[in-house]
Amino acid sequence: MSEVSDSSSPEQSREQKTSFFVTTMEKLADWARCSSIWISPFATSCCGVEMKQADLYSELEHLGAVFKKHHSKADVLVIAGAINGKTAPVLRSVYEQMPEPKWVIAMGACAINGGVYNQSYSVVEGCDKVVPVDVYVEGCPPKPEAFIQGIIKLKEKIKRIERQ
Amino acid sequence: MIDKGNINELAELVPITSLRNLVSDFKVTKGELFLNVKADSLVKTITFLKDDVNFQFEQLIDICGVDYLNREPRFDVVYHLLSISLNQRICVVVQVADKTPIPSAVSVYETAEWYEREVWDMYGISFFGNPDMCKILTESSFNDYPLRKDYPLNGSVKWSYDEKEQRLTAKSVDGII
Repeated sequence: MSEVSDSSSPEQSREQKTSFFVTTMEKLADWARCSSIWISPFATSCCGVEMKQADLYSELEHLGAVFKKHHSKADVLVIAGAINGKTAPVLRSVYEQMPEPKWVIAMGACAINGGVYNQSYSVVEGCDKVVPVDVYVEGCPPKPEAFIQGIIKLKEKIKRIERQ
Repeated sequence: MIDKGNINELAELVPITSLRNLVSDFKVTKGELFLNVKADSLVKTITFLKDDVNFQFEQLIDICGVDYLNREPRFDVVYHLLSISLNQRICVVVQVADKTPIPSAVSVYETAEWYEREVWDMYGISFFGNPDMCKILTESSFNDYPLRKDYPLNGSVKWSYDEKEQRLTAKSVDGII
């Protein structure tokens, strides 16, 4: 919102109370998107417990973030846990089924670079090898507060998205 | 609660029952009774252990593979049995060479099906008589046996998404043994 004008007071008439603002459609859409983040969890291990723990905090709803049951209705995919060779095609197809625009949060050390399973034969060394990742939330596992901080960082990223 | 039975009393039964014809060797180590059997007499042995009134091993807990890299024959397959009635545990050990199938225990314990598939997946020891002898844990394009001692620790392939081909590709890497 680039300009807001509001000069209303209780004494003035209804016509004079009418306020307006000027913006672009892109900024309005980004404002709407960052205010209602629908999350689809892709939890493969213990980080998923911390992610659902964050759901119990009221801060997540204040930020407009809601957990959805199906990824086809979600904007944000949260990958919580290690991705191995058998899960990687599933993760890719889940990502491709999500509607545009979409963002991805990698939660926990396993999702970021494999964590303690980094040199293992079966674990993909970071889910950014499979899908593009926007926000990394570090920790093993991250606290629920860290996950909420990740949502705040994602909101900032959605707001200042650059267009051609 | 049933008291834990004396493992030595169980070991004394081995030479005087029909197990003496089936078992090639037995020993008590660290409170466990180990029976070494040949692959031919495996099914007869575990059937006897399940049905005999002195043993009553009703439950198959696990089937493990062990890789002794420089030994001949190379692998051990270990069957862990539990008797709930007598509160006893026993290990039945079969030595098996590489690329040699051994008989399946599915006819005695149905739960053996998935354990045998896991042993096949991790060590490459195949079991004849198993109704569904295929992979259970690794992906279908994975052609190695990761728990063998000569398999590299960090694996032989790494997965990544190829933007040009728009599909997941497995790139082979040099392994560290």
